[in-house]
Amino acid sequence: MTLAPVLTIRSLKKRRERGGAAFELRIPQLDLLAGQFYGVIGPSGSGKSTLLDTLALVLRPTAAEAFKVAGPSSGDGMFDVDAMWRRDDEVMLSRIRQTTFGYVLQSGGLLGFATVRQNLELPFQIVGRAPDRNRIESLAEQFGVASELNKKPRFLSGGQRQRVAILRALMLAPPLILADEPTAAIDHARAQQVVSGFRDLALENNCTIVMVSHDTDLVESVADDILELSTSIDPDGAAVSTSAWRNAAQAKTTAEA
Amino acid sequence: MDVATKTAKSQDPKAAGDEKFGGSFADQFRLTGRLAFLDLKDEALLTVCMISAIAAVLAPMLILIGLKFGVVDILRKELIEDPDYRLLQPIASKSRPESFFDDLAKRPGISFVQPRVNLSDTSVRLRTPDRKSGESFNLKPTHAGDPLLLESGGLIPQEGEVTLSAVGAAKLKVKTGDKVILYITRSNRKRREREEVELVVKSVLKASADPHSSAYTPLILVQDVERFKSGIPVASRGWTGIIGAPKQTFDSVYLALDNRLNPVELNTLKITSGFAIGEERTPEQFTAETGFRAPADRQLVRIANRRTHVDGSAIQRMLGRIGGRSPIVLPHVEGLLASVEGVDSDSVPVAAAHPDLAGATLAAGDLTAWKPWRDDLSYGQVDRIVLPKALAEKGGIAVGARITLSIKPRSEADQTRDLAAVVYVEALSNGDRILVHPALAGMMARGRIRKIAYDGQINSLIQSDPGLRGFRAYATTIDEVPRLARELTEEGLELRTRDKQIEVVQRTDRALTQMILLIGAVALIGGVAVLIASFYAAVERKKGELALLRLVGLSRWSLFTMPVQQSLMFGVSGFLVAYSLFLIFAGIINNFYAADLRLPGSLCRLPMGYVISSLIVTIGLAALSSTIGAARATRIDPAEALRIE
Repeated sequence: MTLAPVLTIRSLKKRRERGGAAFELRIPQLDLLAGQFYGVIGPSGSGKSTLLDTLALVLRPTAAEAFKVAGPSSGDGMFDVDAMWRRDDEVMLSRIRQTTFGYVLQSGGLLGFATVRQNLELPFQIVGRAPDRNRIESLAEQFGVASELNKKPRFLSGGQRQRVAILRALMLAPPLILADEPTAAIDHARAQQVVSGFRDLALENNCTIVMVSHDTDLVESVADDILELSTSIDPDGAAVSTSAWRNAAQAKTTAEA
Repeated sequence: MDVATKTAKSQDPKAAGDEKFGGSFADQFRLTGRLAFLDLKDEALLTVCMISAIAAVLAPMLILIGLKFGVVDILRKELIEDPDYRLLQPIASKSRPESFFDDLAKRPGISFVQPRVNLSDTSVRLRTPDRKSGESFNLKPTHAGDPLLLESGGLIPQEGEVTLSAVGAAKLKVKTGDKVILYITRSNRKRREREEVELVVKSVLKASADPHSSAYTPLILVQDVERFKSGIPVASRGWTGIIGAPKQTFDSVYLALDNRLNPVELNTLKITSGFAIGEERTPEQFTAETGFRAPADRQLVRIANRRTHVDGSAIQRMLGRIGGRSPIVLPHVEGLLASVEGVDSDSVPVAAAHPDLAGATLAAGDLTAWKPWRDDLSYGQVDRIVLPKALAEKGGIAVGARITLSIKPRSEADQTRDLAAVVYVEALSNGDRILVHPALAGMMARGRIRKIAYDGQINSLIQSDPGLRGFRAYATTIDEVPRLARELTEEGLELRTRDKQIEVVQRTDRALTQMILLIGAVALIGGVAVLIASFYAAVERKKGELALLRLVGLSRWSLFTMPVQQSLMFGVSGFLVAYSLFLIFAGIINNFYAADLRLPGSLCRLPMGYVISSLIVTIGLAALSSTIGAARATRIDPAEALRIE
């Protein structure tokens, strides 16, 4: 069975200047499919953050041949993100972020002044829908945070906060969830639990996950495929990020000199 | 499902179905409002501080403005309620026909005109029927519509009625409905004549209306009283007039005595004759004061009163007491000026002269025909003058001629404004003054306090009807007063008004307003600075959360509204707290102080219009203060959310 594409990139380059040193991320080809769990690994400085920011639609690509993202429902087709960037269409970009994406941030990314329940209601409110109480409560139950619903994030443990963050990302069952080191603050044993639960819930809701992590073992235990990033210096002295898929079936990328 | 990339559909969100891309602006606005409120609740202490800061700036301002309104209100009420502030009175005494008063009353801006007989009040006495003597009162005319009476709780008296001032009624111990008797006296030859008028007290004015003992009656009574005093008959009341010689009035009298009086005798003479001053003069003083050389070997004495004139009759009585001595009597008048009709020259001083004193200066003619001075000489016996030679030559006048003297009034207060008397030139002098028989000088001086005229038919000076020489006029409102004063002055009618005090209140109002605006501006600048800093700091503090909201899809503009919505919440709450504080303070101030001072209004009050404007200004400034922070919020990069520790 062929899976629907969720995100498609061709020949994307992102150049950044950092303190005089240039860095360039090159993505010759990227196809993310529905329901898959993708891991992204690589040493620091290899462009993981740049890749994630670009996928998250918050970093404008320097150049791209194609950059498309699926709409929230199956009948929507793909949206031309590159075109939106070129015409500075902030409104559309933020609307796609609202409906197509879910984010799990390194620090949890919860609103400190709202209760867990109110944080989980936020995705609904952003798109103008009434919050689905049943969904909130059952997902919270599934992830073991049902008893914390009326507390504010500062009263939860790091692990609990992370689980709430994952739940929030899953609330609208968006086609694509980006997770940036979601288990960084959790001990290894619990991390495994959390990430497994994450993957299961994602599968249930047919969400694609792209998870960046420095914990290679963890990623290997759950990912369907892993993108490995590394840096090399090109003749101009610029650092270039190269990427390679571990899973041979996905290997359509070629190393760049 | 087809894996092939479908061509991207049109980018129009509407084509994709709006509800999928939900979050219309209204929804996002509601969402940010809800989030803004949750944020405020979470940082409860900070929120309370912000609201307190706003209230701390606002409450004193509201109280200050409230006090200004209250104080100025009270000032204006006092002004508006006291008809005295709308009063216009002439400075100069001038006889005016009735038409003048009618025209004045019709003038736009004038609400009432009351003609008066004189500029000053007529003096009368009032007694209760059970007593023989009474108290002295100022008699003032009034008629229907008089604000002075009507706005002080008084009623307009008709004929036979009188309205008294509070002071006056208290002096007589009478109240409304009681009977009082007004009486007036004068001396006629050697007798005192007295007339009485019965009046019923119509009403009594409030104490604040008139601080003097005053009696208000219709104008006709005041005119009749003045006529009586002038010796003019009042047929309607059966009062006779005084016939005969006009009375004489002097400023002082000089005596040159051959039998000297010792100081005790002089003092006794002065006191028994009823004069205030009786003093010796040196020859030099005598000359300086009278203009005549002092006769040799005589004691020189000056007799006078302190602030009032000397009646001829009183001098006559005194002379009776001097007895066996034969003094030279020189009654003296200051400041008489006259010119000769038909002779083009300035006015010349006029002096009373005694033949013994003036003889030396004569150039032609003599004064042997001059009768010794008495207070009952008729005009025809004393219409004699001495002209300066220079003046006579200028006019081609010889001894024995009859000329017309134009006597000038000494001041604005003089009753007689122009007097032209026909006199006989008895002699010419080398001096520069016109010398007249002392009795004639006395009659001319009398013209200052009573209106007199020359009657050619009988060749005598007679009393004339006093006429109407003053008025009391009221403007419709105090704001009319400055304009009316200006207009009427330009037309030649100089007025006394209270416009200075009105202007003081108006200027005080303006000054207070300006000061308060200044203070308010300083306070608001401080308050706004605090708010701007707080909002900016708050946005910086919540950068992570705001970046997150951008990441999950809130637009820049939604983010802009969050601090602004918070500022509105602060603004309204802060205002409510400030206004509550204001109400508490105003309540305290008004109840404790105003009751004590018995003021006609609240000391501290804020008209609703100002309350609402203050609310709008507060909200506006709060919103404005938040825009800098809000602008910062829009510049937050969603990427920052991904990078926060």
